[in-house]
Amino acid sequence: MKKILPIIIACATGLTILAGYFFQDRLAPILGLLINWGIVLVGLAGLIGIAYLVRMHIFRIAHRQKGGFYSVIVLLAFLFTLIAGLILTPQNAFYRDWVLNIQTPVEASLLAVLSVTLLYASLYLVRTRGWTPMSVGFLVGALVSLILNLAVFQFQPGSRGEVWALVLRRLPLAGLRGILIGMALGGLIVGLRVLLAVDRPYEGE
Amino acid sequence: MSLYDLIWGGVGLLLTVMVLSYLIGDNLLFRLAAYLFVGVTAGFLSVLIINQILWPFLLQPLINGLWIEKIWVLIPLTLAVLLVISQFQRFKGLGRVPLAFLAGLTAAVTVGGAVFGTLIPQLRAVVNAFDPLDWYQSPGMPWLRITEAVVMLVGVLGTLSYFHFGRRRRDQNDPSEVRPGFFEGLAKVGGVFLGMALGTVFAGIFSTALVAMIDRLLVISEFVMRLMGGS
Repeated sequence: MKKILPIIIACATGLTILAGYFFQDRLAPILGLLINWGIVLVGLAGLIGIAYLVRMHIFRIAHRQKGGFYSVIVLLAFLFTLIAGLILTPQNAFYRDWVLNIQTPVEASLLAVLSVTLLYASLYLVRTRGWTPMSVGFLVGALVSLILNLAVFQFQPGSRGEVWALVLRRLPLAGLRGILIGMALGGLIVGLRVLLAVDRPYEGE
Repeated sequence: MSLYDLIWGGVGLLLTVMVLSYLIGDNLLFRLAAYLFVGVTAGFLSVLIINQILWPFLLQPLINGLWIEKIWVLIPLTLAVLLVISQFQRFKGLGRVPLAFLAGLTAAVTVGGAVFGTLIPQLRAVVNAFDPLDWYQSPGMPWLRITEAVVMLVGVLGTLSYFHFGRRRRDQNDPSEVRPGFFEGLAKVGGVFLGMALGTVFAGIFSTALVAMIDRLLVISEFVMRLMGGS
């Protein structure tokens, strides 16, 4: 029973949701209910993850491990944001300023650092992997896309230049479409394996 | 500029400089900014989960809901309690039930999304490109549309072949494995298309990152100008 109950729950939930794709009118209320329960569990799993993060930083401080000073900053920032958010609510102007004026500059600056890192990595790619068809395709795709996005070349509507620019823009779609179809096939197979209880990720070790 | 704006502007400027200092190497300032960011984000995420998920979907119906709502909410409440209890080593096994529910839900949503959201629309786009009505829609360009349809088909098949890992042994004594010749050839063509696709994605991310870099530099210069009394 200990092993069968989770299998029954997983299959029943999955098959009900799948049936909902075909009988939307009849199963809509049950689907909404199941998805709401799923949202609650995912949210709770997120909170558990954050609790583990906090526990790890408390452990680092308690055991005077290296980087304990940074853990103090994490905990202070976490506690202030959590308590202020619960008391003031996320709609409060000061609370929004506190969160956004820390998140926005850091996120944008990290993205800015990424631009330099990406440029270096793209140059490093050819040095390490050599001139393979894939690396040539990568560099051509990146260069063409950057040049077209810069809008340096302006073409007359209906001219040959415009047609070629359109073709060049659409060429990478073939690869992207292949990647999407491959991912969907992979997702489909993994999903079916879970629904048919061939794979049982909920059993753990 | 009010004192309030000045303080937040200064905080933004300071954090920007602290993060950008990573360009000269990993240092104390960068780590301070990164850890502060982690703490604030974790706290904000907790508040959002409590306010937007747990309160309206779990706690509010339990406290203020009708008796029928209270009964229905007992199921996710039980699953939630089991999930929390299973974090203790002694009650690890209890986590199987909520995890099984989540696995079934995720698998079904994945299957539905993969079939109706990706496979059917993408395959339809590849096949529809061979529609003769579509070729003659714009006068004088049918050859271009036919070529595009063929290139798209070869590109998609090539990219899929690139990830084909089903291999057969050449002979019993030879341990090396080879892909069937047809797939091998297609995979080489697919490699070029895959490279181009990744290159385009790279260019998009690079452009976004570059815009972020320009934006940060503008914010710094504007703040300094305003501080000095300029416009």
